[in-house]
Amino acid sequence: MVKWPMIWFVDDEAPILSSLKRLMHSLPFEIMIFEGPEAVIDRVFKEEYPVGVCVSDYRMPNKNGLEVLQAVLECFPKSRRFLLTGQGDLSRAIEAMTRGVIHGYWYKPWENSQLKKDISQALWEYWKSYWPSYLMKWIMEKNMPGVMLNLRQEVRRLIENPGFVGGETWFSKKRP
Amino acid sequence: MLGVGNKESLLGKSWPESTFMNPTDWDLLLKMLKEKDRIRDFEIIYNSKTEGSRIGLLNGSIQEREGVDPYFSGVLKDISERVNQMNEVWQANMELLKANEQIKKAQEKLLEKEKMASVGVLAAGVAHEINNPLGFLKSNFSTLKDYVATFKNMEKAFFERIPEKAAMEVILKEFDWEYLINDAETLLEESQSGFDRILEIVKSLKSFVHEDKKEDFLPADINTVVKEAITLSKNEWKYHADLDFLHQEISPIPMHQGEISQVVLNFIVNAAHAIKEKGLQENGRILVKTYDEGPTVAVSIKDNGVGISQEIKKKIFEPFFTTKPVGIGSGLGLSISYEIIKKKHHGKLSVKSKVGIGSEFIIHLPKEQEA
Repeated sequence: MVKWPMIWFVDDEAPILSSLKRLMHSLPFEIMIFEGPEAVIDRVFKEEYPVGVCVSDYRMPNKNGLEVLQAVLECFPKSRRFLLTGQGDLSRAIEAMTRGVIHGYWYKPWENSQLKKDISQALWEYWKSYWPSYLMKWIMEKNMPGVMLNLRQEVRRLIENPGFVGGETWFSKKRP
Repeated sequence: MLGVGNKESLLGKSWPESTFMNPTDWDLLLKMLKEKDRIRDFEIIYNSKTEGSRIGLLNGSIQEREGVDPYFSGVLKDISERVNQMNEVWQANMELLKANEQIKKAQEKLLEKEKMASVGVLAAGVAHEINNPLGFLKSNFSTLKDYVATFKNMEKAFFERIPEKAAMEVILKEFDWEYLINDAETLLEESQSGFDRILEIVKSLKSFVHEDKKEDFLPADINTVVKEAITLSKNEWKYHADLDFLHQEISPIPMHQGEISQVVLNFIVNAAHAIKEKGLQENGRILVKTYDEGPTVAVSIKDNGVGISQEIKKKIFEPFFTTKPVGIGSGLGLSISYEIIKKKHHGKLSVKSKVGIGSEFIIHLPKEQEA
């Protein structure tokens, strides 16, 4: 059985999470939101479905965003991880980028269209690392401009196609 | 005491005028003795043959006796030691006063520095705290705009696809749909401008945050930076002022190019506003100059605008202080310039101004930044 990659949002402020969820509503992605770092840590080691993209706030009680994303990295090494921060000082974010803990960061307040585009792009990158390149090529040739919006349908069709290979192994997960 | 002999040899002799170091003392003494025959605690500087110039206190009176010419009899008391001591005390006191003054000045400077530092900390904190709610407000707002656009499209779709147009029109009228949907758009547009203003302020507050990263300091040609600022600000001054740029060849100095350009731009825009406010018939003048000055490189921005009064001059570098109407100035421009020049670049920022004549802002940037 194929499990859909998810997008995780982590923030200690509920309104931020619902804004993000609202923003992604029109996109065919599975969204999960976590209010605070503990909820993520609880979940990430037990999670059955792969985490494709995880976006976390930086300053939260008890654990900061980088610690959260470090845990996500350990469980889902192929996930794409990002910080969404209100902090002016980005030295730690940049340092984490060089260590490979995160792939990028955004400031709060963010630009909706930019964030949408970047997250879709990140999920695309995630997918790319799993699908055989000939399949990717096929998808790209087929419907490049709208591919992100229609990706889910496209992929579902591909999976249901009997000739499809590699469905079971398209994500790997390390458990503690 | 006078060093001219013993008591016997002096008694009855007339007192030589030359004993007095200060001839006016002698004149004054004679004058006083003419008026009354007693003097008390008359302070003189006298000449001692052995000890040189001394200070003495003279007490005495005119004595009149039968058969003798009236004569002066008195006691001269040497108070040099005491006076010298007092002098020393006085001098020490003066020095203390001076030191005190200096400390006061230093403290004032420190206080000002402290104020700016705490403003920086506060600004960073406020910016962070505001950014969170601003984050979802802005996002939701933009989503809401999309929703309203969708509602409008929905209305169109209804009319296109549903046959009962008359009934629909009645319903829409009942709820005042036409007005609501159009006003919703205007309302969102207007609110957007408020949003933009808040975003702009918070963004500029962020400039207060200290990020002492040396790699941002790259050698740059100040003339290029100033030219860039002049070009960027052209729209602000071209209708009110002629701008001249006098420059000399200056070798590159380390700086945060974007920030210096921002500061210069800020001063040019202020100059343009000052000229505009004056409301001259002909164009005003802005003179931008760069020159080499000792261990620093200077940029001067001079205008013949309204000028700044002494009272306002004291406050111009305070955050949120502005003389411009709401919406035009946030009151952060000059305080950020101050932060950038003084704190980040360890330079100097000075202002000369006269009401009705104009202002000059001068930036001094050190040629070398301490590691």
